[in-house]
Amino acid sequence: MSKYLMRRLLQSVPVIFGVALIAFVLTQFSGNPVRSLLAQGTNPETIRKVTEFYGFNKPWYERFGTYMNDLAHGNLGVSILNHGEPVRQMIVNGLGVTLKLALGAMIFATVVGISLGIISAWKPYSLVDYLSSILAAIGVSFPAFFLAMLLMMIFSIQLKLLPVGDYRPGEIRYLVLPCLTLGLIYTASIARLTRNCMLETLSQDFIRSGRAKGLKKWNVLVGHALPNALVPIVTIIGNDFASLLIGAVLTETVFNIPGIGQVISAAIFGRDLPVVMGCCVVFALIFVSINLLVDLSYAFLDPRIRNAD
Amino acid sequence: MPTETLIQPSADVGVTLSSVPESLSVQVWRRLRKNPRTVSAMVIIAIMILIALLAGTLAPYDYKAQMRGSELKAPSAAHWFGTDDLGRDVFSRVMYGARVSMLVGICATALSLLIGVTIGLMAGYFGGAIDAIMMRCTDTVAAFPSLLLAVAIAALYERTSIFILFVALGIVGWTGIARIVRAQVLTVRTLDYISAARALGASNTRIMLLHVLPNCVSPIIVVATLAVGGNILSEAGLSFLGLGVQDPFPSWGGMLSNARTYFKASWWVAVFPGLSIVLTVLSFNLVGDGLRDALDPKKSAVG
Repeated sequence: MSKYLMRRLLQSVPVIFGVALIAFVLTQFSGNPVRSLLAQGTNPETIRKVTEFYGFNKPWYERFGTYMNDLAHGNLGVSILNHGEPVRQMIVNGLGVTLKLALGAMIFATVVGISLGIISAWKPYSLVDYLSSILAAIGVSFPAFFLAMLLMMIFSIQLKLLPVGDYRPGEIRYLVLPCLTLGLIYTASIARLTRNCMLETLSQDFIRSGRAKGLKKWNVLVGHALPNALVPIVTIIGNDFASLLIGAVLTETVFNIPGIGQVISAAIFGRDLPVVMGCCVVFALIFVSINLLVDLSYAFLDPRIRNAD
Repeated sequence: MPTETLIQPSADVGVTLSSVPESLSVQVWRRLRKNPRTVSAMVIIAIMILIALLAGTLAPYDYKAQMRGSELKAPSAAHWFGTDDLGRDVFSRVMYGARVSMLVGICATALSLLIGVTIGLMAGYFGGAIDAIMMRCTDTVAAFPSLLLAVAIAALYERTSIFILFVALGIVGWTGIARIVRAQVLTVRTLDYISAARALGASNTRIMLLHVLPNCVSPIIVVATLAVGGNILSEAGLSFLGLGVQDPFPSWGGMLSNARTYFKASWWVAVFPGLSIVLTVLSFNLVGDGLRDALDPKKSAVG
């Protein structure tokens, strides 16, 4: 197991390096960002000084070396737009809010999705099963920001149950709609997968044996079929969490939540290269860690994998 | 047991005893036709493509014509989908918006196919070091949050256009295709007829293109159809962030972005472009699912 862990960890190193490289190369195409930042007609001497301060006058390989060295030390550079604020601080601030939103959504999606899936597997081709299959097909076709608007129209404007936006930190009710928006989209796919995996397991011999020796249908379903379906479910939850973070970026813009989404869009429109690069690298880091965690969780969920070595 | 219903009688597999077997495409078409969901989705896609092509003649109003005094009017006989904040007809703008979605969705997928099939084919066929390097590259691109990468590419340009949109989405979305093609090539390349072709002196290029590729077509068609839907969704996301086609030309995502300020009082400015996205993406997904079922060799096995 530890050998496998080591190999998986080593495999992610070139991926992170490659992501940093792509992020660096991409931003090189946009030229010296200082020029477009300072006002028209700024003293050329000032432009030169600012350019030198950020190191944009050095050749690309030197800048790449500095960037990678800083990265290895956990330093993501400083923002140009926010006058020298450390990028790491900006990302940490934004990510805190975004992770709260993403985790809330994921918990909602997992709990409701797995429950729906179990009900569907219990009575396949029933009304609940049929409805959840329609919901799943629509769910994956829904842009998060459109669902956000629809939910706002229903819950905030028609029913006046929840606030319209204007996020205030510390107040849970401002996160309810955003979490619901993101959660609903993934609930459907988790429900479908749970149902299909459980039905597949239910067709196996050990289930029949369990039923034959008198186990209740519900016990077989939750005690035997569900644990066997968990590996693919955890895989899809891991994948979904990655795309959910992107969905969170779009949802934040609708609800005006000061998360990482606002940091990214402000950086892109302001051509704030260090922030754009930093966000890309941090997101890739999160993606790679989630994949790693998902792989490791297999060992806990499935004794056959745990004892494979 | 709930499983009994899982195994459905394969009544649709018609066993013909005539000497000439049906070609695969005929079989697939016959199976597709029996699925009402797939058929209705195909009809919707056909209508959307027609609207995109004929928006110039079908749309009742010009997409940029502003009607003074009829700003943010609710849907009526004159304006089926109402008017937006500048007094422009939402129905006409939704029709023109189909152009952007269809064009970007289809072209981005074509570009992803070109890159993904080439890389998957070469990685699977040659194996060894080429495979290892190509697959690590694929992992790296896949580790990037795809929409973020597309955003970064699109943000490099001062003014975004349809061209930049589909290139950005195309060079981001090929990793899944490459992996699927590679997996398929790995199972095909050990088959006897490939050895036979090699024994006959066929070149690597010839074997790859004429013998291996045709056997990978089924999974490619399925992922490509699903990818069109995904790209339309991503395009809407990019446009929503303001990285899309520039106003006044409409795109569904751009219309929703503009609607952010007005939808609380005027629901129609958001609901119609939003539903267009959902309907189109849903249709592509349903056709993809239908194709997957129809192309599944397990279901076509005549026993």
